[in-house]
Amino acid sequence: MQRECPSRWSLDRLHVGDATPSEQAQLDRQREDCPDCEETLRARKERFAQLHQHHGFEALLTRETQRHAALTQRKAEEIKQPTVLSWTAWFANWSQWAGLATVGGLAVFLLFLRPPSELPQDPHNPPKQEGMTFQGKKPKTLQPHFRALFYRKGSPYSRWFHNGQVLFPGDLIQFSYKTFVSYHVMIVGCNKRGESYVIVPFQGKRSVKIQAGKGKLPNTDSLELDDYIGPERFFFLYARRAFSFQDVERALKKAYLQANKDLRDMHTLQGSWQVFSLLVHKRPAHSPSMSPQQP
Amino acid sequence: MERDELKRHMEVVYNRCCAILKDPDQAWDALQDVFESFYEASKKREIRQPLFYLYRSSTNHCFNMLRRQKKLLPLLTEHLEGDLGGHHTAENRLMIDALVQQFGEDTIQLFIYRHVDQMTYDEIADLVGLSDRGVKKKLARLEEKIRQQFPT
Repeated sequence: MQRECPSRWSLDRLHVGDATPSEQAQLDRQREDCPDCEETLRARKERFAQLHQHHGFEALLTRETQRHAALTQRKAEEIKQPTVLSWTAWFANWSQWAGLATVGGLAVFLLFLRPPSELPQDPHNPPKQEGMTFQGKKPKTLQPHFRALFYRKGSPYSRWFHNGQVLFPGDLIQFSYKTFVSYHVMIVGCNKRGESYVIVPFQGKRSVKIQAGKGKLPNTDSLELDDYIGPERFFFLYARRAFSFQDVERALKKAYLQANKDLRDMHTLQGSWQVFSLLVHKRPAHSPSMSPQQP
Repeated sequence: MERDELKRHMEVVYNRCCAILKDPDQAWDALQDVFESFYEASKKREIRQPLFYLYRSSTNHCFNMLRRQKKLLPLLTEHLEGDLGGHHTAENRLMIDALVQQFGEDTIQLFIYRHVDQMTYDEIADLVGLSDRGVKKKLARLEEKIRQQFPT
């Protein structure tokens, strides 16, 4: 096998549908011209056939399919029906009184600590609309739900942010999702200069797969906003097939030019994905009217 | 995961286990174990990139099977000639236990990705969550040590 022949890893990614369309095209070109690749693929097919002929294969496949289907359904139900604790069970279990008291106390504490619900907004550049903008065909299955959370140093707790949100350098952000089916997702940002960058995945430039259920992106960390000042648009892209940042970057550049370099008008992002987007305004933290301590 | 998706992942894992273990029966056993562990892991947490998980899991599993059986690491001779500089085959000299004791399991896994799976540095970096330069450095150090240990 030559060095430039696709590795087993590339072929495997292609086989399970994780390869992006551009990678797929590249592999197809390579395979057409290379007798070594042809031989590799033939050997792979033989190996797969060998597996299919194994007397236990069908049973294994059926068992795993059933188990994973049950697992997916269970996770989807967990989303549909948030855990509701039975009051009778609570009262019956005296050992949990201490926990109840703690939760109640905490709730009262948070109620009093609740900060103003609105962040200061730029009077010259008010948000066009509340909530996220949605673009693209409606998916056949239930649409996933994305939200973004931010935490400001000195603030007692983190909050969801909305379209047009004012954020400061140093604010920490995290994205959350709920979905009933698995998707390949990527979160990218674009600033007023049209520069784009990947936010999620943290490493690598290919979409990551999320399974049905709910979760956070990044999973365990939050992201600290840099010193860039000005408007910035976050795009949540999701698709049933994998895609790469290269494809997204191309679409972003096109959309940026079509919107006359105005992020507020970047409503379309053509590609094999669907999009949620959020516009944020980053202001200097020392601005007297927008102290980071008082969002 | 749906049936077709699972089937494709199983094919990939089986093919990989065959390549490492060089024995279809053992590869079949490994496939079942790997998918059992995949299911158990899926119950506990969300696995965003199943192929990544299955690659790592099958590597570990096959690696441990080879270690238990005191077998050799099935490296591609042609691959090694370029990288390790010898015109002989290194294949018959790379005892896994000796390698693990000296270099650690993580580094040997990188070695497997590179020389058994023929992955590029970028691909390995993606899989293990290191930078490609980090992977390259680690592997260069390991290959240098192997050269010293097994002079041509």
